[in-house]
This record gives sequence, C-alpha cells and structure tokens, in this order.
Amino acid sequence: MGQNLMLVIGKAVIKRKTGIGTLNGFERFLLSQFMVPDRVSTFLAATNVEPYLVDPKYDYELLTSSVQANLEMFEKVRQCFKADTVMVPTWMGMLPQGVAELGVKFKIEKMRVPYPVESPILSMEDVERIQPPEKASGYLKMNFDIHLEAQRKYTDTMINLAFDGPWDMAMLLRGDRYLPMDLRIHKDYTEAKDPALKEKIRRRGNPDMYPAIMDLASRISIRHVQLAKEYGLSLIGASLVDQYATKPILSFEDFSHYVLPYIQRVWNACDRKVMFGYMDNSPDSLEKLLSDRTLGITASLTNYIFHQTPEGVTLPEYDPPMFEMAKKYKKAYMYQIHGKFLRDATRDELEAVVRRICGMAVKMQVPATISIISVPPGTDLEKVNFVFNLTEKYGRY
Amino acid sequence: MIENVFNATLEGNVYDIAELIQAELDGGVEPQAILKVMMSAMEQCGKKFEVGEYFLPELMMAADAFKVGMEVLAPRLAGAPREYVGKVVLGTVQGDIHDIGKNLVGFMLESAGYQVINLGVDVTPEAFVQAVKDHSPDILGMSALLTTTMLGMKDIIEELKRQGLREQVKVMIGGAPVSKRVAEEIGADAYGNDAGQAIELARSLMPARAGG
Repeated sequence: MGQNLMLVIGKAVIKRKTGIGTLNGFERFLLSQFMVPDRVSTFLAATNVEPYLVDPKYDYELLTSSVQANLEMFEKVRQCFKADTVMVPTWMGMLPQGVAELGVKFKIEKMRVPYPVESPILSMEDVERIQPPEKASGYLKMNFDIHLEAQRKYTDTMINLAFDGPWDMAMLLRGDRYLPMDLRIHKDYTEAKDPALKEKIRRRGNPDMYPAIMDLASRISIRHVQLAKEYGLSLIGASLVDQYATKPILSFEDFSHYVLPYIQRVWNACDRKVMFGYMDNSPDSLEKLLSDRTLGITASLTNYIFHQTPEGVTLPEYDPPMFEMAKKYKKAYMYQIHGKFLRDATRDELEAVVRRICGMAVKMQVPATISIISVPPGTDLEKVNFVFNLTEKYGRY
Repeated sequence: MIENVFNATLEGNVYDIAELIQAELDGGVEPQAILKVMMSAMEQCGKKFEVGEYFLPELMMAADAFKVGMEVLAPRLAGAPREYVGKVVLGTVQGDIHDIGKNLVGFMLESAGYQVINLGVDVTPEAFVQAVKDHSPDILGMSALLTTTMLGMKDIIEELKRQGLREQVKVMIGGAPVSKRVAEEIGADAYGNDAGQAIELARSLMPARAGG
C-alpha cells in the first residue's frame, strides 16, 4: 500500500487514547476492527454500487474492458458516498478471479454484472488438463492493474485483494450443479465400509473427482496469491473467500471435513498472509468457533448471510448475541445493511435499524461498523449517505 | 419393507433404491403406494432443509434417489397416470444463473405432489411465455438472486398480459431481492424469499386443490 499501515494504526491509537486530534475515516475504520474508536465506523464496498446509478456513462461492458474506467468509477463512488472507508474498486463480477482464463465462459451485458454460463470441468480429463496460470493474463491481469494503481493512489483507504478460496473456485470451474454431488459421492465412498457398497458407489459416480477438483482449485488459489505478490501488489488485508461453502449450501460438518483442509493448505502455502473467516447464517455455531481455537477456523462476526425478515433485515434477535460474542472475545461486529432493505425501506425504518445497532454498540462499548452491502437499481442514492449520517449521529461512544 | 424405500429416498441412497423398489414391486406392493412413500420422504427432506438439518448435497442426492426410483416405477405407473395437485413451471430469469434456490423450490413442490417443469436458468421472457402456452401451468414461478436481474420479472408479467395469458396462470416470484413491494409493483400474485416457503405459497395460490 502507499503507506505504512502500522504507522496509521499507531497514530490512530494515540489520537484515541490521548484525545488529541480527530480521527479521520480510515483511522476510525482501522481502529474499529479491534478497539472502540470515537464512533461506530462506516464502510461501503464500491463494487456493489450499480455503476450507472452514479454515472450513466458507465456500464458493465465498459467496465470489463477498461482499467481506467474502473478507477474512474471508484473515484466517483468515493466522492459520492461518505463512508469512512470505501473499498473494492472493480466492477467485473467474478471475472477478477481469473477463471475466464481457465475456461469458465461468462456473459457480459451492459446493465448486468457479468455472470458465468459454462464451466469447463466435465470429466477427470478436464481436471488433468487445466493448470494454474504461469502468469497473470486477461481479466486477472486487469484486476491486478486496477488494484496496483489504486493501492498506489489511495493512501486513505485499504485496497485489499479478495481471492476465491478452493471451494468457490471449484464451484466456478465445475458448476454448482455438480460439485455438491461430487462431494456427496466422495463422502459416501470414503465413509462406506462394505466393499460391495463402495463398488456400487463407483458405478454411480467417480469418488475421486471431488478431491481432484479441490486439489486443482487449491493450487490455482495458491498460484493467484503468488502472482499477485510477484506483480507487486500488497497482500495486507487480503482475504480468501469461500462464501458458498457455508450454510445453507454445506453443513458445518461437511465444511470442516471436506473443505477446510484445502483452505488451510492454501493459507499455509501463502505463509498465512491471506485472511479467512467462516460465516454462518445464525450466531449459533460462531461461539463454538470463537471458543475452540483447535478447530482452526476464524469466525467472521458479520450478519452477511444471516436469516432475514421478508423486508431484508437481519432477524433482530440475532444482534444481541453477536454483540455479546464480540465483547466476550474482544472482536468487532460488522453489521451489513442489505441492498433490498436500503432500496425499499422508508427513512424511518432505516433510522430505526441504525439507531438500534448503534445503541447496542455504544451501550456495550463494542467496536462496530455499519456497512451497506449493495446499492441496487431503484435505490434513492441519498439513502446511502442518510445511513452514514445516522451512524455519525447515533454511534458516538 | 417399504420403510426401506422411505429411508433410501430420505437418505439419498441412489445406490440401493432401485433394488429396494423392485423388491417391493415383486412382493406385490402397488406402485402408487411406493410413489406415495417416496413423495413423503421428499417432503421430509424439505422440512429437514428448512430447519437446517439438511443441506444442498443431501437434497440433491435425495432428488437423485427419487429420480432413480421413478425410473423403476414409471413403466408400472404408465397405466395409472400420476395424479398431481397442480402444475408449476419454474425458471431463473434472464441474466441470472443462480439455480440452487429454484431447484430447491422444485424439490419441495414435487414432494408436495406438484408436477414441476424446470426451464433452467437465464430464461428469456419469450421462453417463459412460451412455456405457459405449451404447458398451461397453474403457477409460473420466477426466481432471481440479483437485484438487477429481478427487474426482468416485470417484463415477463407484462408480456403475459399482452398475450392474454395473465389471467390463466398465477405468478409466484422468489429470491433474496424480492419483496412485498416488488411483488405488488410488478403484479405478481405471491412472493417468497427462500425455498422453505414454496409449498405454502403454492397452496395459497391454489386453495381449492391445496389438499395434495
């Protein structure tokens, strides 16, 4: 990054502890990840703002063909929305994950996020044919170029890289209709004791497919991180994302036995420089992860995939235990406002949610961030800053 | 024992279900009775998914076991057509390739006795409308997981109106970004945010035949 992050954090801690000087947004956001700053911080993932809402000249066809267009859109989003920290300067869907270069076919249209339409792995021959890239090319290179320039230019925020973990990578390469079945056949075969049953399973499907695909996906994930480093990118704050390996797609047990070993392999191969956190769809199993370090899984304290009301609000009964866990284990809670709620809610309804969350953070003295997950079509853009302004109003510790 | 067929379906035992069903048929059990047991097991799968006991691999394997079982039963059922409580056409709208939720809805509805025609993903408005013409479903179900692609649902409903088809089919929309407001705005008859609501919604749209 264009500055020494530890210096920024150090300066922020001194400001907070001495009361001398005012925290800027970046300092506040960094502090809020591990200690209580002056107020609840705010965060926006720029990539989830529909670009044509900000400037109708920018659409996905343009943004998937121009590094400069992504950087310009990022600057526009930063100017338009007053979050403490704005990150993620790309508007290319899953293309930055380098999977198009491995054979995943995407459809690119003006007004829709690019989406995969065909996966290259149909057989074991395809698994053997596909290899991790030797160098960054295509959209992977474009992603690196965007991040390199953004890391150089923006010293008042973090420009983190997000890499697909092995499961999410495998889902793209194999297809979400097939990978869960591959896992199940592999699991049934592994757990079967009767040779006759093992034979039946082999006749039904190939139990070796799943480990072969996951091995390939792991090697690709590792290589992508290596390439980023070779490209001169900073890995500070880089994350490994396997968001489709959680509930309700996979049970925690299947995740632990059949996905986590591959994630740990990638993590170790990258010298543990990428972060990974397990998300759950309720607070229930998160406490177990926080209290039992031997499981080797970090819990992400966020409501990102929590069960919601029909209006798109995380079930309110989930927030108190999340704040309690954050307090007990000295963590921070990132509360995400979903795009649907932002779009449909009245200002009073938005205010009620922000006030409730900030109220709990302040009362319990827990570091917290209010984030807007997405700004979808049909959203009144003024609501975005309205939420951030409300956080300033109600979030003072 | 027919309980074995139930368990094989519930557990997604694609490896043994064909033999188990054949054994029941050879023992004189009526095909319709076996089908009823399999459907009951599928409904149980849906409930387990709702409460977080089953996940995607379990549902997919159970559906596979059901299909394998049907391959054995179908020739024996040919003379006695399967009675469905309704017919549903499902699809994920154009520009969206998320089909996990839609497929789960399909499983749930099949388990509850509905005939489900699955159009797949990235379905154009024209294809949805053509499917309504071809299959005369009771319910048209549209799924979207993105706030951008969800907008296409309105186009489909408008096209149904233009072609004079709107009154002959109930429209149900689903997916995380849909809401009551969206359903009202576009003129859908019902909406749901997750697969667990599918059976209840379908029954509410067809109250006269909800006993299935």
